[in-house]
Amino acid sequence: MPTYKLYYFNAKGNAEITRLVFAAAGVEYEDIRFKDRDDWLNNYKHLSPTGQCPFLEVDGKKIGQSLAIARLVAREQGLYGESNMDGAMIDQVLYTLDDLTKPLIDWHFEKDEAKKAEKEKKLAEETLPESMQRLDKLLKGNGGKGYFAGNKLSIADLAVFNQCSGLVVKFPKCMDKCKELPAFIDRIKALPKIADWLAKRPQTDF
Amino acid sequence: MPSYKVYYFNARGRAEITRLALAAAGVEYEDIRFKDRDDWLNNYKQLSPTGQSPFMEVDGKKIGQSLAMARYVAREHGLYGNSTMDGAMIDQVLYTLEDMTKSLIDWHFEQDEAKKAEKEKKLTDETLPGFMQRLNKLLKSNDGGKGYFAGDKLSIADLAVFDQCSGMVVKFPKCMANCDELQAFLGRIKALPKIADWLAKRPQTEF
Repeated sequence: MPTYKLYYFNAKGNAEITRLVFAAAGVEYEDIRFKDRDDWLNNYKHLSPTGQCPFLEVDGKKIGQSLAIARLVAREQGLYGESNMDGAMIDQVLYTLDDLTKPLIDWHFEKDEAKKAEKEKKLAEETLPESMQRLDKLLKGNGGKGYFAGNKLSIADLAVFNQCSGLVVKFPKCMDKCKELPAFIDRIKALPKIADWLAKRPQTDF
Repeated sequence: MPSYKVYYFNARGRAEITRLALAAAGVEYEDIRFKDRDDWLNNYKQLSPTGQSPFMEVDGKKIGQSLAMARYVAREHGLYGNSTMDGAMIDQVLYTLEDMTKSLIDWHFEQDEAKKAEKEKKLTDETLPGFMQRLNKLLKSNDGGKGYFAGDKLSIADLAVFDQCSGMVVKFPKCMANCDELQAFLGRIKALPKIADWLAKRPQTEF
């Protein structure tokens, strides 16, 4: 088993997908969390291969970019499907989720209150429901197996769970038109290794 | 050999990375280009697994999302390195490029002219040089930057950097100042026979 060290703030943020993969795979790792921004800037930033975080150390070799990290662990630990076609189905999901990042960040950092309300409305009424329906369709498209790709749990399932369980707090109606997705999220949440991690992980705002 | 069909507009855009991967792999495919937006909306959108383009068909099975397609072709045809660590190095590059794409898209679609000029200045002075230096550093960390981004052979990371940067340097000519390894790298990729061949014969489009 390689030695893994994950470096990030004390938050779910862009590291949580990798932590979920570790949890699902039952793999031990060092979950290093910076005390604050200064701790990151003074003690860790220079260690990161891209000057950003999260980053991962695997037997001494460092990798940056949250999804490069998550994918590496997923591939190493059997959470990337069983064929290149499974991999493509997984990637399809990961990139669909990635498309949401920009509009969400855009809304989150909007300083003008009127514009922010407008962006929130668009997210709530159009962007998020559309994306959720797209995911719902992809889930159904895998022959009712209950996973997004192939016959078993993969990083795609964990990524959808991670993103959607956060979204539904601020945007409770975004999955209203989805037939499969809400039940899917409950199923993932209840998987023993995932439930275990959710119970013991540090409780943080974001 | 599977049968491949790539569906997109008559543009490089989000499909070009997959076309470059197919060219590098020496694989035949049907390069389907919609006549215009109506052609896409009326004749092709319903075929796409995510309702978006580009999408690809492999022996009848459809894959959406430009980078899901490109990665699939890369994995099937030896353009994804030789190990999962090579794969991680490749992914690091691909995601760095994605971050750059997002800031370019933000600028490109800005309607307010004053804001657009401001964003363009920031891209020119800070953001793009920052990304180019990051890429240059990643390149140098692999064999001193004399070869490829990952491992000892061409990968989808090399093609993606080539695709993105050769377009960007037209609008932002100074973004790669001081990135000597990257500039030499781009010259090398452009000159690879299968790539040069594709560059010469591909439809010439504005974007």
